[in-house]
Amino acid sequence: MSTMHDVAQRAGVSLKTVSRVVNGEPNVREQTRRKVDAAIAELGFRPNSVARNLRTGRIDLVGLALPHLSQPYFSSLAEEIMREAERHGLTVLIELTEGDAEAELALVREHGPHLGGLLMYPVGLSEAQALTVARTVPTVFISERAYDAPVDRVAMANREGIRALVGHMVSLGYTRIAALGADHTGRPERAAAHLRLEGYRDGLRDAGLPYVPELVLEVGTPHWNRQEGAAGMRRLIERDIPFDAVVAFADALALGALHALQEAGLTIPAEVAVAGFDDTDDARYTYPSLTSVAPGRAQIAREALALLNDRMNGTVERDSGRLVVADHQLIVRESTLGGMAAWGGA
Amino acid sequence: MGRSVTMRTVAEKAGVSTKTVSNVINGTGSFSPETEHRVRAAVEELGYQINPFARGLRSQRTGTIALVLPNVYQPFNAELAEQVIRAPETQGLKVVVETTRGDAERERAVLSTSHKELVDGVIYVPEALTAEEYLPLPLTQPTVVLGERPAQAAGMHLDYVEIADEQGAHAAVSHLLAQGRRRIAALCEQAEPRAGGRRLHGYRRALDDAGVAYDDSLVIGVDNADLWSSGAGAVARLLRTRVRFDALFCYNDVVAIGALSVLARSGVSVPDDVALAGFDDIEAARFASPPLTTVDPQRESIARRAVSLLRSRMDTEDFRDLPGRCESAGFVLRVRKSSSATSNTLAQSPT
Repeated sequence: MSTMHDVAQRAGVSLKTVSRVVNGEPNVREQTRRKVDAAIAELGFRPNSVARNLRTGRIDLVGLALPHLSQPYFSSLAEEIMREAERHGLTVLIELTEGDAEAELALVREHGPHLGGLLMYPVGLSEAQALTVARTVPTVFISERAYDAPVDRVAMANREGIRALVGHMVSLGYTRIAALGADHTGRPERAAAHLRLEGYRDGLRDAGLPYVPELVLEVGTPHWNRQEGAAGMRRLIERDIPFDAVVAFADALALGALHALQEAGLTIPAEVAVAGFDDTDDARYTYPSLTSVAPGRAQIAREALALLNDRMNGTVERDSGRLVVADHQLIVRESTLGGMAAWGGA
Repeated sequence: MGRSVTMRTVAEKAGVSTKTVSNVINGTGSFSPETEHRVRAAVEELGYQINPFARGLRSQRTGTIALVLPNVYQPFNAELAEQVIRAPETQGLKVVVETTRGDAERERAVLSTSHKELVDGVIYVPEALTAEEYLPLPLTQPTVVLGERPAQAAGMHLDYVEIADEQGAHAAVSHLLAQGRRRIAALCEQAEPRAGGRRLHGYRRALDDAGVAYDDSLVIGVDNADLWSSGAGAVARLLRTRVRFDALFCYNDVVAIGALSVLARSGVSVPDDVALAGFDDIEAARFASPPLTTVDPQRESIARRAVSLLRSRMDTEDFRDLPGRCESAGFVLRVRKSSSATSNTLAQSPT
C-alpha cells in the first residue's frame, strides 16, 4: 500500500503539502494541488487523514475489537486502552463484533488496510483464523482463550483470582460457597468461565471442602450481566439448598445476585457473603460495596500497547508469540467483610 | 477525463474483474504485479480518475458508520452503542465507536475529517463543542447529532435526534412533588453543551407549576456527571450544608446511584426520608437497592431514529440533497421504589 511519503515523492512536494491537499486546506496553488491529486490517483493512495503520522509515516490508528460494551468490564477496559494509547500517540477506534467469528474476520479484511494495528478480544476466532488475523495486521489479542498459534496475547489471572476469592470466603468462615457463572458446554469461546470454575475447584480443594454440583450455577450466555446474575441467584434461592456465600465470575453477575438476595430479604454479608471478579467502578457504589478481584486492567492495557508497539515497529519476529498474564489483586469490601470494610476500599 | 469512465470500463479494458480494479486502486487484497501493471495501464489510457476527496460523492462505500461519544465508561453511552448495533436499521452495516474524551480538537477532527476512508456516516454526541462551534465546520459526510437542535441549525444539512431533557426532568420532579415532597434538591451538571441546563429548566418549571418556590441552596453542581464518585461527592456536600431536603432529583442515574451510596451510609432512608430520582434508565438503576426511579429516554428509539436518518442521507448521491431533519424520541417515567412505595410507569409517547 502506498504511503503519503510515496505521494510526496511522486508529486515532488513536501509531506506537509500532501497533507494540506488531502485535508482540503487552503493556501495550496492549483497547479500543486493537481500534481498531488495526480500522484494520489496514480499510486492508489487512500488517506488516513487524521491518523497517519507525518513524521514516521506509520498509521497511528489502532482498532480495538470487542464483542460488546454492555458489560462494564469491556467499557472500562476500552477506557484504559484509550488512555494508554494516547501515551503512544495512537488513536483508537472501537469495533464491535458481537463475538461473531465472521464479524471479527470481516473487520480485519475491510478495515485492516487502514489500521496500523489491532487489539482484539477474540470470541469466535479459531486457532487458524487468529493466525490469519495476526498476519494481516499487527495484532495483540487480549484473550482468556489460549492460542497455540504464534500470536501475542495478554490474559488475566482467571484461575488464581477466583481461587484467592474462595480462600477469602473460607478465611471468613463460609463453607457453603456457591459459584455463579459456570459453563459446562466446553466451548472454547467460554474459556474465562472454564478457567474461573477451575479456580473455584482449586479454592475448595485448598480448604478441603467438597465440590457440590448443586451449588454451581450455569448462567450468563452469551453475556455476563446483572439480569443473568439475578436470574441465577433466584434459581438457587428457590432450590432451597443451604448456601452462605456466592462467588460470581464477574461483577455484573455479582451485582445481579446482590439485588436478588436483597429482594429475598437476605442480609449481606451476615446471611450471605457475595463477591465478584473485574473490580469495575460500579461495584464500589453499591450498598453494600462489592468485594472483587481486580484483574490488573491498567497493566493489561499497558502490556497490550507495548506488545503492539513492537509489532507495529516490526521489532519482533513475525512468527513469534508472546504471553503476558496480568497480576490480580483481591479488593475486600462490605459484601464480604460487612461494616469492618472501608467503604470504597482501594 | 470524463465522468463516463468507470471502474467497470477499466476492468473491461484490463480484462479483470471490477473487484480486482478496486483492489489495485485501493491497495487492498492480493494481485500479481502483472495484473497491477495491466490495471494501471488501463487507468492511464482511459484517464480514469479516482478522487476519493470529492465532496459528497458517495461512490466508495465502506458499509461502516461511526458513533462518536465523549466516552464509553458512562453506562448510558455503552448501552446506546449496544442499541445502535442491535437496531434493525443497522442491519448490514458495521459500527465503530470513537471517543472524543471531551477534547474539542478531537470533536472538530471527527466532524470535518473523520476517517473518511473507513466510515460512510457519523452519529455525533457533542460534548466539548457548542453548536456555535461545530455548526460552521465543513461537513464532509452524512451526520446525525444526538441532542438539542439549535435554531441556527435550521436549513443545514444535518439531522438531529432530540432527547426529552426538559420534559423528562419536569415529569420526574412533578412525580416527586406528587409524593408530597416540597424540599426537592437537584444534583446537576450545568456545563454547556450538555443537557444539565435543560434538565434544570424542567426542574424549575415543575416547581413553578406546583407553586413551590425555587431555592438556590437546594441546587448543587456536579463536576463530571459521568463518574460514580461525582454524585457521592455532591450529596456529601449537600448533607454538610445542613440544608433540609426530602427529595433529590439527579442529572443522571450515575449521579443518583453515587448519591444513594452516601445516603445509605449516612442513615438517611430512601424513600422514607429522601425520595430519589435519576435520568437515563441504565441497567444499574433497575438493580439499585432500592431500585431507582428514573426517566427512560428511550435509548432504543433514539438509536433506531438516528441510524434511520443517517441511512437515508447515506443513500443519496450527494448527502446535501436532503434538508435537515429533527426527531424526538419521547420518554417514559419509570417509577420504582426509590421514590414511591408503589411502583408504576408513566409514559409519554414520542412526538
